[in-house]
Amino acid sequence: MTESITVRFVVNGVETTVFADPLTSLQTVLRDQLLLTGTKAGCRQGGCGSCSVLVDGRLELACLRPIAEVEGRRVETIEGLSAGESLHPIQTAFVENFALQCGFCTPGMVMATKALLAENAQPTKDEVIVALSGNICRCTGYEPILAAVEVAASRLADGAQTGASRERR
Amino acid sequence: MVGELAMSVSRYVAPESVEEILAEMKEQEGNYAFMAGGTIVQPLLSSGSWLPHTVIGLWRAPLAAVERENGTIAIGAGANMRDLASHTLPGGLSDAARQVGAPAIRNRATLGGNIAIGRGDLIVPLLALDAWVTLMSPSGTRDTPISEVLDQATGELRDVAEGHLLTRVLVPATESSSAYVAIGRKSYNTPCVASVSVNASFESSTTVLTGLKVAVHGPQAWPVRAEAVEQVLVGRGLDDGAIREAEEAMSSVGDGYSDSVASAWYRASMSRVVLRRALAQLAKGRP
Repeated sequence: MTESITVRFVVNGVETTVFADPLTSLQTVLRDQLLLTGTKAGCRQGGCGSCSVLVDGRLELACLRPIAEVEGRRVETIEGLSAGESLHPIQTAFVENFALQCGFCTPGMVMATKALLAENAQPTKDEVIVALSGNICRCTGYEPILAAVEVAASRLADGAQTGASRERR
Repeated sequence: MVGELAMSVSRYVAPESVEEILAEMKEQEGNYAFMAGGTIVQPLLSSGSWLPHTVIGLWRAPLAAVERENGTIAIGAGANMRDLASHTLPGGLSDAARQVGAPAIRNRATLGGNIAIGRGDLIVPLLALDAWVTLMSPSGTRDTPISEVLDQATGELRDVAEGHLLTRVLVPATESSSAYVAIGRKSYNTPCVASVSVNASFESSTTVLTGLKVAVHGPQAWPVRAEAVEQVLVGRGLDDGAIREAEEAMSSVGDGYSDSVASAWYRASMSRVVLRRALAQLAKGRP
């Protein structure tokens, strides 16, 4: 077996150290070692988007990145968006627009939305479809999700505060 | 751990330079696998369905640069699809990169990995560009046409996956007209049913072709140059009759192949459709 290594990285703003097989996926470390189970384990082969997280601000699939390659990086998961009961505007928009049913795909959808709106604050519907094309939902038929992203973009453009920023205030 | 690495590879290294990678290759005597973006290899390792003795991670080595020099563009094999899409690369290469997978995949999947699977979408524009690849091994370095790395007659991949490190791809910094057209079963994040890349030069102020390179994936189970199509069109204008004959010539390239994505009949049919659309794009804007 490969010799385990120590990996230091930042998860949702918190300096974190794990000891793991270097080829263990970030997905497994998040869920099984750090108990951040909001990042879902769906297909485990890059096909469903349910393990979408941000690594250094970019959208990635946690099942595809070995933990050795996370050394020194900044990882954001769904748990980092809200502050206690205070939801991020993207999460609020998903709730209000009935953009989830079983909820399994939702953390990935929300993280993909966050990545999109960080780069493109006012996306067209087509741009939203492209941005979420790697995230599969088997409940909603997607239309409520597209509506939620539009609402979230509008609110963030109007200066809605994130849960985290409210917490700091 | 839940369901992962029940068995495991024995060694993982992530060298910081090409020289260190070559030293590792020599030491392991072929008993290793490369991993770049991880989109192909990591799921195999996680599921335990492929367990090479040593995995050589390529992410630390400087293999992602895109450099223009003396009429050639050298693209590092470690450049990912997002990088390639952000450049204006010739021959529809950037368009093809933009259509690979979904954003999270494009943020990781590399040009080298796309070539190393032997069926990657970017091989189509690379064939139509007459691209070369640089292969390094502990015994030396050589530049080879991509049409030799991917045997056009058999689809066999030579030297890329084993015994050599693919470090860069060389394409001409051409100003020729080009188009890349792909069809899948849905609009985004879908495997190609058929794709075609065309590179053309025209007689001044006409649609008469003085040169044409066509590559296609669909008639055969691997990407190929469609020389029969090129022969039909060179020296002619891109009128309806010529395009119809070109579509017929595409039928001679292969009968298609069946898999879980599409039947051979559908693939062969769509190969003609993507060719027609690509030629229409070329003709558009010509006088």
